[in-house]
Amino acid sequence: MFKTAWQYIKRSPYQSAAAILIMTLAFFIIGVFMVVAVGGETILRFLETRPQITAFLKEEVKPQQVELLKSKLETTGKILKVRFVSKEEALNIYKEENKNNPLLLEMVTAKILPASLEVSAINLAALPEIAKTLKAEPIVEEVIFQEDVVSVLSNWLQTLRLAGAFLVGFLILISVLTVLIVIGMKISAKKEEIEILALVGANKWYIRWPFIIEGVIYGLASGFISWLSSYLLLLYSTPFLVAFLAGIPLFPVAWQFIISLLAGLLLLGLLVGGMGSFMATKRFLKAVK
Amino acid sequence: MIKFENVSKRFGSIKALEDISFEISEGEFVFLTGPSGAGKTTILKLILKELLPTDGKISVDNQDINKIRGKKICEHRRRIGVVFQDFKLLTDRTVFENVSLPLEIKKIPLNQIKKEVEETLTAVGLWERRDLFPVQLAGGELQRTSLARAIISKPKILLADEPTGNLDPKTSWQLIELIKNENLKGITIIMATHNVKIVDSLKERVIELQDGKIVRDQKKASYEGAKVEDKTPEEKSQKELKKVKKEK
Repeated sequence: MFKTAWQYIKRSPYQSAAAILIMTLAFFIIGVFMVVAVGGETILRFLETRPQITAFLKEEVKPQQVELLKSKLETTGKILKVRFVSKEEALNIYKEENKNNPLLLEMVTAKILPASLEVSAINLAALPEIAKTLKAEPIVEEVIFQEDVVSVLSNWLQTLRLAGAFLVGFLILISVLTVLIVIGMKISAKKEEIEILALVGANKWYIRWPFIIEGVIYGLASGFISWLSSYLLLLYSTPFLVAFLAGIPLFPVAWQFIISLLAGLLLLGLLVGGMGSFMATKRFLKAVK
Repeated sequence: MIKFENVSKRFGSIKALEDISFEISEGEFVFLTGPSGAGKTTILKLILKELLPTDGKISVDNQDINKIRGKKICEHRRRIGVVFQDFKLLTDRTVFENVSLPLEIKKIPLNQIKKEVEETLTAVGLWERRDLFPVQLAGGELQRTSLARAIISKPKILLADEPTGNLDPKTSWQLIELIKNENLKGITIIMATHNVKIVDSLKERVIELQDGKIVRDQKKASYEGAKVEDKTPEEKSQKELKKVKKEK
């Protein structure tokens, strides 16, 4: 049956190539969407773990006052984590972030950097209230919080997921129809051969299997080529993305993700190719007596 | 073995067969004769369940074939070998692959397929041609390939639809001898033919059809219904063969 399926592919190479190319394009777009969606999720998770509010403290603040403020915040029940960052720690963070730029490190000492409290809330909705509380404190100089960044990214990802789901569904439909049409054309072209097979006692599955295997081969080939293309694109764009997403630990991309992407695209190819060709055999082999 | 009871077949307003009844015993050799359009091929197609009768009952091996469905149809067809006038070989497969098809369908192991195909192709004189495609064969070779495919699975019944229709007299006789040999092994043969010489020489049962009706059902008969000399089929076929050679 594999031999027959391979013969069917070889004997109409242009139809086979057209089917594989269309499916490869669809799977490539799906693959890129998967990469973007997973990357976006990772960025969002990273940002969510970052302190959401930073309260810079005044110069003359005493440790007891800081402890008092920490306790006060913790008793509200809205706080996930509070961490005190001393002037020395702030200097170390500054040095780490600018280690590649010696000019920015010159003349900077712990004295000019303020101590701060880094606060994470259990619920993002509580951030404005917490910020308001902190601003009212006499030992707090300034309050910044990144509610907007997180919520904007979250909204973007939600939109991307919806648009992606629609696009993926649409592309899968195109792929299934492509396989259905190509295999259907081949079945029509082999009408006489199929009739002969039926007359010598072949059952429908004996006739059907080579066509289904052919569709599955299209799907698997498209899945592999699209994975290879998206992986090469990811490798090619890594230097740019590393610079663009500085500080976010997204690269190098985990090999488990690359393997999962390959498995996902192959599985998608298997299902789409199998389903398209099965539908074609159902539709076009009806007339076989 | 095969029983037609009041069978009719209509294609729209055209009556292909009209209320015909006959019975064929196991191991019999039967010629279906009559002019084109008389209903010979329709009978063969009904036995193969390629067509369904409009009325009447057809039994093969005591099984009412009107009632068989799905997988049973395939099993029914696997018990019948068919030689077609237009060969019906798969053009993209070699002689070997065409002949092995019925065994492949039956899921016979590959080594056994190879052995049986070799035996059958040797019997029909085509072993040397096993790797050729149908387009590379002569008419007689194509028909012998078709016969090899029909007999390889050792069917109980062999249907031959004008198997000599496209062949020269010498090749026709070679093919008839191969078919007769199968009959001597006990296979029931039903052959639709126009070939007067073959029918007259083999002296077998003849069912003559005209306008979808049986007009004659005669044992040891000739094509035209005249008395046939009481000679064995082998003697007769040898005689015909010599005559053909002389004519050439």
